Amino acid sequence: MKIGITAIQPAGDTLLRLRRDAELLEDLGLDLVWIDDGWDAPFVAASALAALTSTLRVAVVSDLGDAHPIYVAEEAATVDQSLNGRLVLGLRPAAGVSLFQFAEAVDIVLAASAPRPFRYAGDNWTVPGGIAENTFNVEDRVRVSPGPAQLELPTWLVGAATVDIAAKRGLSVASDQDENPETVWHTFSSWSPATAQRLRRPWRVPAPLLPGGQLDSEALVDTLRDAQHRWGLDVALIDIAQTISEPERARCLRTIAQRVRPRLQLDRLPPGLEDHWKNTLPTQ
Amino acid sequence: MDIGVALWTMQSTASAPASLPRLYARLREDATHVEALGFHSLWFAEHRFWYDGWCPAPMVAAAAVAAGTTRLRLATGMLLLPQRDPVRLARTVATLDHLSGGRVDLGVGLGHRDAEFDGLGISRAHRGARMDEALDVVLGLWKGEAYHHEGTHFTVQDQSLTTLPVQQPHPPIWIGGMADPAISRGVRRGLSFLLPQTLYPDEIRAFIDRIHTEAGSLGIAPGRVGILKDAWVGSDGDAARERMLPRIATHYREEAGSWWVLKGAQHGFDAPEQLDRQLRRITQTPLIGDPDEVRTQLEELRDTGVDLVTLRFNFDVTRSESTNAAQQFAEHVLPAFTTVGAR
Repeated sequence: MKIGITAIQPAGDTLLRLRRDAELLEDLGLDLVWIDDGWDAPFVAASALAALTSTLRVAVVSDLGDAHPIYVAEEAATVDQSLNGRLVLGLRPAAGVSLFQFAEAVDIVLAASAPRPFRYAGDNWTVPGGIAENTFNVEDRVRVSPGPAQLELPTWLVGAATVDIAAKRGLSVASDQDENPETVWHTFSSWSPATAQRLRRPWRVPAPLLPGGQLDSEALVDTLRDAQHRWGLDVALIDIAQTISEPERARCLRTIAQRVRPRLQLDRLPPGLEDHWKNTLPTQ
Repeated sequence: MDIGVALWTMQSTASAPASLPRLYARLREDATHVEALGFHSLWFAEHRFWYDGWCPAPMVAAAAVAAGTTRLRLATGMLLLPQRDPVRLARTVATLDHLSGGRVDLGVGLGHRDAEFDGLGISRAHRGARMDEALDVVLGLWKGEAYHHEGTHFTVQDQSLTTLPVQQPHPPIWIGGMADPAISRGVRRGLSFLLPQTLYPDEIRAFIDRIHTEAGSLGIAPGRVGILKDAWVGSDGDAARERMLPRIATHYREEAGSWWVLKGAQHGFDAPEQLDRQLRRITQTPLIGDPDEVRTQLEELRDTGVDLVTLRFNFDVTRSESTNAAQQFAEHVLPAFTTVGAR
């Protein structure tokens, strides 16, 4: 199972906090940082992480469907180049946008992320526009350039409501914390079992905290292991509350790295190993 | 006088092919280097839908520079504002300004390629009006309160930013443009101007006079005036000119030949003689020479009233050429115009 952590949000000396957090995430061998809530411009945060990390995957959740989807494609490609191919792109329907409009926008982002010129004619967008006054050297097809560094940019739709759109396009769905991901993957599998089998299955899960701010690692392992067995969770996006202090967050990250992640990598662990870890790993 | 360096575009061209991820990594290294050398700012440019990967999102790319520097200002010469969603841009620049501790300079230009506007479903004919509205939206959102706008090109329904810019009243905005509408647009909002590289000193003086006249008539303090200049310095001035002028000409010829609309609605490459005439200025106006010559030319610029020069030497040059050029400028030219570490 891959382990992702939701990013810190902007406050105070954000860059310094981002730097320290990124360093710890990488040092601990965690797999991914999930940039979502609290960021007006999540691609800017991801770009900063390009300078602060070298191995961590960086996931950006971008609202989609209000502004022209080409802007999202351009920023995603720019950041993926800067990250040397470590971007995961999450797309969530922007507030007030219909799923139909969101689906069109997804199609434009997907087309724009491919290494070939494209054109698109939809109800909400036409690319290129074919505007009468634009007469000089206009194109029939456009190429968003640069494209992503990755040959195929991992693109996940965010929120259970997007499952039909995702299934038709062979894209993963990252379920949110209040949603039922088992239903999502059951629906997906009914569309296309082979595609469902192939794709990543992410789920955003709140980190359970004990009084005193410590991570309840037992409860988290139980939740994630159960999800892994029931519907195939393979990317846990652990949401650590933003209200805890930086030292408390660092302790949570260490606990996740030492007491949660190792226990989720195999179908089952040999008898005695978990007890051995309990007895020998540093206390939280 | 502030001296910046330009332009970072992360292009892999036919004449200088390069790995794009390596160009973005190089951007970060270059930024650290030019900051240590004492330059004021690093400038990006924007275009889109081209073959070579010209970065269409420079303020996003700049965030990686912010993370590796502490003093260097991050600027665009130019970001193509009429091609943008101003709400999205306001958020991007505000977040970058927050992360960088208030080091953003936003240079905005109209853009000129029909293909870029058309790719986004925008009429190029509306670029002036879109620029005016977009400036109002960006400046309005940066004030921090819920902002509402109903215009011809943009509608904003009570939006506010979660993250505001650090700089007050807002990050500096530099208008790229010299026509009367551009002057009006910039002066009435108290904005600064970044001039194109092909101007001679008397033309710069005349423009600054126009700015001051317009500002005086409105009772508004004029903003700053800066200029982008193609530049190169070498120990032997003649050798530097012989080496660099043809390379500069070739660089601009590709762009101009592919993109420009010449008199008679001719495509650049289809009218080579006219193209060459238009490009003549490009090779007559760079600051190229030995250190004394370049210093003299910069002093001349300073005497016109500009107080920012951004030296464009990051052309289709090798890594070591670009690094060496920055070093040469820093050692032999910069000290005459700025106090390193003063900021």
